[in-house]
Amino acid sequence: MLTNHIIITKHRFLAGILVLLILDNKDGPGSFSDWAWGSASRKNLPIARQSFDAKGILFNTLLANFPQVLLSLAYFALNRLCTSMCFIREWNDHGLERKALRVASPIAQQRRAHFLQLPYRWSIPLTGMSGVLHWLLSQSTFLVRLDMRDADGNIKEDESRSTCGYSSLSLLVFALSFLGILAVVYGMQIRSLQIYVPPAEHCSLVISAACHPPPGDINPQFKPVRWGVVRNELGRATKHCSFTSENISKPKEGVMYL
Amino acid sequence: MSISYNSAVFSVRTGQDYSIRFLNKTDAAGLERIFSSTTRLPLKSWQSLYNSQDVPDAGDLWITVDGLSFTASIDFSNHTWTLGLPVLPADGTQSVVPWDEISWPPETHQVMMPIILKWDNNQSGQGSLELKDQTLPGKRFVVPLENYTTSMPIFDWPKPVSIIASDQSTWMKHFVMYNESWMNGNVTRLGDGYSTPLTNGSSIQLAIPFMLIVVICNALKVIAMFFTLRWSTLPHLVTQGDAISSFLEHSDASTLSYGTLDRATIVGVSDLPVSKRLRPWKVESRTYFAMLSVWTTTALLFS
Repeated sequence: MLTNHIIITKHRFLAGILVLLILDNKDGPGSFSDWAWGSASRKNLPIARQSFDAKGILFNTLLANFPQVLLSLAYFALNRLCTSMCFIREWNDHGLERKALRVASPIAQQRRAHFLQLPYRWSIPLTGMSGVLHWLLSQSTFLVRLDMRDADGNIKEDESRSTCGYSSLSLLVFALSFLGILAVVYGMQIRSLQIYVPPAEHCSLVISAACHPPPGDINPQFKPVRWGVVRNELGRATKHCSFTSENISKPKEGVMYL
Repeated sequence: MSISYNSAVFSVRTGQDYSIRFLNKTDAAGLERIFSSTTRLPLKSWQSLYNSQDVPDAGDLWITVDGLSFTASIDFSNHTWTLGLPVLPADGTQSVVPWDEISWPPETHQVMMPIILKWDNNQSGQGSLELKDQTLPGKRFVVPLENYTTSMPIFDWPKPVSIIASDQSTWMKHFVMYNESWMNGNVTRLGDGYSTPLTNGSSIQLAIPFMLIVVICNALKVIAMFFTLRWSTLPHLVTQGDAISSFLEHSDASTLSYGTLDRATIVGVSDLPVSKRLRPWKVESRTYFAMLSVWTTTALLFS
């Protein structure tokens, strides 16, 4: 519910950006005819310092690029989200088919872990998306130096200044792209998954509980393993579920297992 | 680094002060020089380019005038011609009476009527008006305009150009010299503009301090990665497979009875005796949202 609320809040925030853009462009310098892409736009943020000294340039740099930091944090969260989804999928697939474990330093039949934890079909679009969003944002707010020249082409020092420029068109494209990506991720998150292995949720307790192979299963970690009801070697009344390299049977609904 | 790298390369906008000048068709040599050294811009283009006090990537503006409107007081009885007070068209050409609508012969010998003087067909100081006779097709009256000069001083034209030429009208008031005296408020129709290109226009520049920060940060990252990979004895990356592998190799007996329970259930039953911890296996579907870890949710919250 909390995550749902966060996503909805983000949508409202971005919708607010769109409303601001439209209100901003009612007339004056920000009229619709004034929409230009990136640094071709001649609009400046009103809160930017109109000065040419080091303090003014640093302030405008912070102002222009602070959204980049926020976008980086958002990317970390999105990456984390996608990594978790992959974790969930990979974990659950062990209840569906026998697979060798993906480890950092593979031995025997073990498989090498994905580069940066994610399969390429996830990591490449994510990295590309991050690059495009950062580029769009760099076209939306940017540091600008204004050199004012007289009719002879000489710089007028007293009138020249630095400022933080912005482009409504770039900002709009960025907001729509970001909304689109959020919508895609939201759509992926609300998909249902048939549970074959009790969800681990990165909890070592659950992972540990799923790793009690029967005594005769020697070094199962080096072989392809699957989660399910294992051979009842000890003759217990209650059967047990675990990862094992041996044959398993699927757990039956309504039956209790150790 | 996120703060700096986007400012390491930045754009420099040039705001060029400029003058507005008008082309004089009598100066053939001057026209040739301007046409060859400037960029021709259609009416709307130069109006939108010169819409501020300082313009980017352009210098002085030369404007052509292709029409002139004024009111003439014409006494047809003795053919004495004088120029009267001008009339400003309210919305462009609509208030200017075309030749065909001028009644002929006039009911009185003296009329006030707006006239368009086609600039292209007249020479300054040697212009002429041509009136058609509606009742006698083919009959025309050519009225000479001697000692007539338009003069548009270059120093007092208000800027930006949008002040003197709006999008709705291509007409503007100006001053006309007639018989060595200024007449205020004649109306001129603007044509194409000729923009003087700049050699030192807007550009992209490197900010050395910001570039240094980016380079140093990247160098530190490379050094950190190199030292980590070269000398660290810890596993570089611990995956889910590593965790499973570790627990398969060294089983934890205390978790034996939780085999089919999820995290939330384990937390809830951990204090119960083993026989009461067990739950019947249930086939179910869950959304990915429902299976996210607390840390992921926290990261989303902060983002």
